[in-house]
Amino acid sequence: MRQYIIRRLLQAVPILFGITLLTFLIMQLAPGNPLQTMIDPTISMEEINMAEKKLGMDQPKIIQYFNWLREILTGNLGYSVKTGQPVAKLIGERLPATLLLTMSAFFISFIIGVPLGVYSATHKYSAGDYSMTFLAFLGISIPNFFFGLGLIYVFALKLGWLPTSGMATIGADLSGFNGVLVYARHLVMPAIVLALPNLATVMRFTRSSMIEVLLHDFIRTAKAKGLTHRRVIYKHALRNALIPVVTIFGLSIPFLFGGAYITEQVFNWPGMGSLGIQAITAREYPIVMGLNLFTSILVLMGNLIADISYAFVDPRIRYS
Amino acid sequence: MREPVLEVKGLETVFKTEEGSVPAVNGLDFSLYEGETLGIVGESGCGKSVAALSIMGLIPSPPGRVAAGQIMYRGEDLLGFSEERMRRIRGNQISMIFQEPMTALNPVYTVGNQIEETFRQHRNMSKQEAFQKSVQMLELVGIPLPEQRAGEYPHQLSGGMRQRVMIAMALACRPDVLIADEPTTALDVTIQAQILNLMKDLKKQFGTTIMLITHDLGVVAETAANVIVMYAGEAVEYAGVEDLFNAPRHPYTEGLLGSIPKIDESCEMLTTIEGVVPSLMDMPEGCRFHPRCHYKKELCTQKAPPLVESGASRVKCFKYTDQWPHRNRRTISP
Repeated sequence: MRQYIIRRLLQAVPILFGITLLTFLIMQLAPGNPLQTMIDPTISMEEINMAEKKLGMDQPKIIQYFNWLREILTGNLGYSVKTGQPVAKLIGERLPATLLLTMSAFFISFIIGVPLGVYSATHKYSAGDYSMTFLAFLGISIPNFFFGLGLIYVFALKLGWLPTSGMATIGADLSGFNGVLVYARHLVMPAIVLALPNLATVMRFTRSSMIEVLLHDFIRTAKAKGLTHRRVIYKHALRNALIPVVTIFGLSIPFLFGGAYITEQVFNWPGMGSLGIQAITAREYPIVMGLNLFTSILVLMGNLIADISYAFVDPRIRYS
Repeated sequence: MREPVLEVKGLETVFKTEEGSVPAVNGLDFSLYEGETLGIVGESGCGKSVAALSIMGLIPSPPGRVAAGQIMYRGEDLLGFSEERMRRIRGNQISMIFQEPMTALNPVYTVGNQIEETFRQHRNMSKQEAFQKSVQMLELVGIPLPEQRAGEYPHQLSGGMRQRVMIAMALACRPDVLIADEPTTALDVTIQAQILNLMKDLKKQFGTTIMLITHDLGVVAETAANVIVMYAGEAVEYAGVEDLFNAPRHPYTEGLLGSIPKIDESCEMLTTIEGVVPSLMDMPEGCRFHPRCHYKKELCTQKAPPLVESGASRVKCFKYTDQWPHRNRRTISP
């Protein structure tokens, strides 16, 4: 088991380098030069060249890449073109909010999605299963922003139960339990909106995986042993059915980070997504690059965790 | 006269399909006596396994359903039991082992865990006690280093070992009746012999009554005392194992025996029974075997033959009735 984890960690290293190279190339392919947005247009070409030299932009691309890589490895993601703030600090400020949102959505989608999938599979072709299938397709099909606006309209505007946007109420007491409550009330809607498509996917995956597993011989063996229905389903079938669902673990992380861009925008959530959209519209390449790199690393970590979970649920992977 | 442990009367198990419901087992009767080994033989698709699953109450429903009959276990009809009561019988009083030891064990749990479960479910044992009992069972079925093996997963064991684990699991709670559905079919010949010997030994030790389902007459010859030959969802012949091999009554049994190659005769082609088992959708009228029978008379195509006694055997064939045209009758009067 330990050997397996070490192997997977080592495999992550070259992938990480690949990511830095891609991120750098994407930046180089983007039209324009960051300097041009930084400097007054009346300034002479000579001065621009000087500034380029100072920033190392006159050197060959490959040297620039290694310079950038060296800086990244020392923890320097560059600086905002507009404000000069370090990108690492900007991301660091936004990271907790995004992590809170995506992780909440992650847990909602699995904690609700898996049991619903099991219910659907064990009540195959019943009214409950059909309604769940219908809702799942609805969940996958409704665009994030539309569902988000709908929720805001109903629960914030009409019913007034939840705040419309933001992460906390300005001037509210954020200490102790009261603080948790304030954050939770703000979190509910964006987390549900972000979770819904993922939840629906998890549910459908669990359902089909479970239906397939229930046809296996070992399920008949478990029944022939006189085990209770509950043990047959939740011990014997579910553990096997979760093996393919673990794939969704890894896949849902980039999906949730991507979805967060829009959801954060709809709910004015102060996370990396809204930072990213602001950075793109303002041509803040260093920030976009930093975010790209950072998100890729998170995704890589998510996949790593998924792979390790595979080994955890399936001994055939652990021992071969 | 011994009391039967298990008595199946007029069992009829049907499956619903798009073309209507088809009977996979049609009016099966037999008795299983304490301590005996009863062999049930027949080709694939003749309803052997369905009969076994009906007894266990494990017919997948839908589409399957036991439509008629009784399954008397120690004087009570299992078909009238609630699911909960039936569950407490399964793996406890009546247990079953399956054909494919490769797929019949759960790949994600250790074999020890899978045996422990039976003890914990039926005997309410603590985890530790159940573990010790499981190790004992593994030892009993001849698995070397049982303590270590208990912590291994099915994919780490060979086919023969897995079948031993299945047997350990099935016998864990010392059941009255063991239903073995093709227990050796998926194994190598040498391993087959080992497993059959193991079953014989354990039977002697525990006095378990065994219902052995197989398509292999060699397995029957080696283990069973009494045999039922099934064809197309029906029992066509009931016989002692000696009678079955020395004086087969039903033409189908004759065909089955005839198709076994003999070690002392050379032959170019194996003898076969012409034709195939009829589809359940499209059963021939009269005797179900008549399209493949060498002795066929008009009578056979019109109505189903009754079950008649012939010597110590019972057989479902007109040949042994008074209705059969005289010159062909086998019974010779003195």
